[in-house]
Amino acid sequence: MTKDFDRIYNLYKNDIYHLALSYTKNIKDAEDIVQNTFIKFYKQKNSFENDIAIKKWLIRVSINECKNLFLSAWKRKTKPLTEVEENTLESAIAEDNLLEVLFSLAKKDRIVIHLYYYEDYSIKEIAKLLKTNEGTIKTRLYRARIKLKEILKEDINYENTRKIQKCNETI
Amino acid sequence: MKIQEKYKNAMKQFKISDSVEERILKKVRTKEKSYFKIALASLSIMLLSVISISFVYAEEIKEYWQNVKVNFTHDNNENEEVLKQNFGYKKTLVDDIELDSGYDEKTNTNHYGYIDSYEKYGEWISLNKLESDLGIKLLKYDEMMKDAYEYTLLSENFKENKKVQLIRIRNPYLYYYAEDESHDATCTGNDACITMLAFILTQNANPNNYKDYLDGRNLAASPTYIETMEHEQFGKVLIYSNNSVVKDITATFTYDNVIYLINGLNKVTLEQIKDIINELHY
Repeated sequence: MTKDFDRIYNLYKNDIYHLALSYTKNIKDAEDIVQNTFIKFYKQKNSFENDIAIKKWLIRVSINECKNLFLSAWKRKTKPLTEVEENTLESAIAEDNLLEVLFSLAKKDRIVIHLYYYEDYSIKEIAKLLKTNEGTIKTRLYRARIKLKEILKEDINYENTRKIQKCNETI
Repeated sequence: MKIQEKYKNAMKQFKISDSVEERILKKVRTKEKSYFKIALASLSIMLLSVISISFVYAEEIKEYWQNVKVNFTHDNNENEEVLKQNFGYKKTLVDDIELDSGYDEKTNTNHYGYIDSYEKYGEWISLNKLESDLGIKLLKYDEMMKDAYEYTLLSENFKENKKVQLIRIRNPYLYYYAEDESHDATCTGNDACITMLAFILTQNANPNNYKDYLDGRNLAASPTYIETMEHEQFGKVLIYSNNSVVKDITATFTYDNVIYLINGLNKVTLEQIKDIINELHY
């Protein structure tokens, strides 16, 4: 059991951590979610067909953990990420435009984007994982993509403007 | 670069800290240890309970198994059969008697010679006293001599098992066709005589004995079966001959947890044996 647990843990710990991070936008919360998810995995008695099935189970449990975290009274009283000092995530987000854009999306959209782009799940699979219909997933994905495009376009325009400025300065 | 690749690369920089990893694995190990402790504790409690129950109800458990299932193995070891039987090893007052004191060892020289026998009483006693001594009830034949009984405590393999296994009750005066008046209890000579033997298997009995008596093999290894009679009250009655030096005819059946053997010698006929059986009553 322990050997099996170690293998699964090493295989999926980062995936679960990244999913929790993209949902909670908080390193400590994400770590707690990883911990709770894997403790639940250790305690569970299900028999899985393969590692893919295990991963889906872990993702489902970690999403529930994320939702529970935001529902808890304790969490509602805590300050949002932007107000927390010395959070390494904040600086990392600030340095990366894409992360900044993604993390600015609503929680519901963020998780869809994460499962679609990071986990490479299909719309059908995401709908199943989030227990919602495919139409909703498509809508969320579409909404998120528009925002991404807008921000990325701005970014590209900004980069182009900077390039032009630089060219002008050299001339 | 596509968004997908960009996103994956961006996320790669975030990794779970070593301290958190250590904490998770430690928690799992602690849980594993606690599961082991719980399992061990549960097992110990179960074991203790089983031992306690076995200790407290030892007698009942022993009695239960003796009554429900007895394994019989044939002498030739060819087959082993399990008989679910009604015979409940009649509880008698001699069950707890150990034969290593107060008994004079005798070598039995009669045809029961293969069984070591230890005689408690060397004298004849009345049927009433016998029934009250042993806590049993025996079938009687009409006006048969009620004061001419003897009983012998038998123990096979005495040296190994000093507990009473069988009680043999004998009434040699059951029926006599004496040619002269000077007959004795041993039914010698050419006199026609019928003896009734009753065997009680005690709780220490070897089940093979019971099987032998039922099959008529207690006296001869290969008896000649004459007839099987279905008696209204006593059920199956096996009639056979032991092929002894004198003409013999024996009927055996089990009634109320006692094995009865009606043994006729010399001129006794099958009809006379049947008549005796039909007359038996409490």
